[in-house]
Amino acid sequence: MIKNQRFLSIISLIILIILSLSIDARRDVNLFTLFNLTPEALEILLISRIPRTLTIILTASAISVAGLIMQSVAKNKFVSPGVIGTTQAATLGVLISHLFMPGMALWIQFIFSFITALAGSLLFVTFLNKIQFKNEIYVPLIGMMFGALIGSFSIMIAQTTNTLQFLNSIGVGSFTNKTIGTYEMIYFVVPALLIAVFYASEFNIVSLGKDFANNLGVNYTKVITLGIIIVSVITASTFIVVGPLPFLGLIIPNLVSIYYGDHLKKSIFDLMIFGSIFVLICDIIARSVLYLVTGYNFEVAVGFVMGIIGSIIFLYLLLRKTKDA
Amino acid sequence: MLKTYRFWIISVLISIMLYLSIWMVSQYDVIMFSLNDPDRAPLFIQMMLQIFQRRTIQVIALIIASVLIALSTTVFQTLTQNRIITPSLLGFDSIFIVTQTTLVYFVSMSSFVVNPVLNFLLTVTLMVGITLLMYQMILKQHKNNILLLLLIGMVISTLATNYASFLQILMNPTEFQTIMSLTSVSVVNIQTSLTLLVLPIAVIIAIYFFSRTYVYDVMALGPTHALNLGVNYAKQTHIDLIFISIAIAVTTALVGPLSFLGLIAVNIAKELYDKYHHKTIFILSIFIAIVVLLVGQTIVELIGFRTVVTTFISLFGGIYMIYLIIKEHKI
Repeated sequence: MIKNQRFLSIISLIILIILSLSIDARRDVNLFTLFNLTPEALEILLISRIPRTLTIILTASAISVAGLIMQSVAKNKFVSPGVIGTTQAATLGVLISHLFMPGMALWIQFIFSFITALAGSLLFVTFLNKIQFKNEIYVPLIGMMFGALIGSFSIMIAQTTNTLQFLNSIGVGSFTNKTIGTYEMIYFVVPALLIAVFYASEFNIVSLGKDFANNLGVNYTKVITLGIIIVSVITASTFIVVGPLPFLGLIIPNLVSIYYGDHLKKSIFDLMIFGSIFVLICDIIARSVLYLVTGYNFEVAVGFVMGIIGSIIFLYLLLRKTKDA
Repeated sequence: MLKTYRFWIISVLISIMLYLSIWMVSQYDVIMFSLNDPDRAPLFIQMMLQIFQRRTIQVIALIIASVLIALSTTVFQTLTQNRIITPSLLGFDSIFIVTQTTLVYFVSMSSFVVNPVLNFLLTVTLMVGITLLMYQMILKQHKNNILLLLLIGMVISTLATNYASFLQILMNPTEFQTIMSLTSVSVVNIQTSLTLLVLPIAVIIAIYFFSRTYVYDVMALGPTHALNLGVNYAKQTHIDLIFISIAIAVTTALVGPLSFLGLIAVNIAKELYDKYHHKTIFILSIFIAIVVLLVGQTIVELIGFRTVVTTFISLFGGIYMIYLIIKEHKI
């Protein structure tokens, strides 16, 4: 049963990748002419379409994994880097680097947003361990408050320095212009993903609680810190390259754990495949919807499409959860 | 208790005076120059009176907003048995933005967009209607689970914001400008006609909440005790939620989102008053809300409108809330 599902999901992933490679403003290089591999088509593929599709797949798998790690670290199914303020902290980092060193290379932005994301999530996790919760819904509520706090701090800085427009422009995720030269920063997620796969069982054990993890011979603090570092690297690099993608880190791990269970070592690849499928579908919709509606070659930011589809799925998850309980 | 009351009443009066006169600081030279010129003086005094008049209306609007926010947050916290929750989290500001965007996109330049009173009435009706629909659907099915309602409210607000941004992309620049001017409600551009319209609504809501203080005292004991003591808990929750949503909708449409104001005011009031009588908490939190809002606005004006009072309040409110949670060690 599960094997069948896995096979089906890999097939659909491949179909979606080919579809994603064949859509563009250049209508003459489409699904049917793509595989003639004329020099021109090859050039288009190498310069813009393969980088873009690669960005999508890497971003999607990385953010899904980051959401999963965050859920294990916080021991709560309703959190993700976007909910608890890591993304907002990364925004703050980009804003700061923009203010102090405008026009600097992307990797400086990356370092800034990595540091702020790390600080933000460490602060939140220590904070989380300090207090007891009566109901697990409070964890995301506190996280959203924390995120709103960091967000209003950025807004205040932006308002006093007249950079509100810049702040708005980095606030929406988009895969446009991911060509050679602008997408390389996404490779930072590859080592993070590898470490995540390697430590998958440890994250699983950590989610059982501190005493349990120590009993099983897992260094709790070390694994938690490692998890937060991975999450921060992923958040920072995807934020620099793509921007925030709402709900991705929240719904994909939940959907996967519904179908494949919580055994991370087994399900982490399904997680990446699932995340990639979801983002590819959203991106294809984002690329084609305005063309279908108005006939112009405009793109909607993928963040909007994902926000709409994602919140509908999340609502379904929420209402479904309470029916079981 | 009387001492605390007196202190806060005096603070309220001082902050009102401060807000009424703060504009003179930046215009000091102009005022001095005009008053020393005998030809200009009478005209100028008339102008100053006009400014005071406009500021008085602003103060009234701000007081209305503070009263409604403080009361509805207190009641909402009693219903949820929780000190860190505010009804603004139900997503009123995004519903507000969505209503405005949809109106401008589909019926731009009709009287619903141009006439502030009509627009206000329509928006408030829609906001209250949507939240009531949410209550009906969720509370009935899930046995008064208000926390679930909050979470769903937040998801819906993300959905709504994305939908609004999508429509804003499709718009032409003129329509986009209209949206920007409609949705950037703030303390500075309060409409006089709206203030007069809202005043009776606010009075009715305030009277209702104050007349029910004893019921809330009982409800604060929890659903089981309240039922034992003869309160129809489910029905009372429903009625309160309706009033809360009207109150928050009205304030959002009048002065914009102020979600952290209620949190700060109610929590400071509960820190100052260690018992649980709602009457005292109501009065104290109203005073504190007025002082925080007016002093915040005054500071924003003093530093030359570099920022907006809502950002200011949410920054300090957030820090204060996190301090409170750490201090209490639990939620």
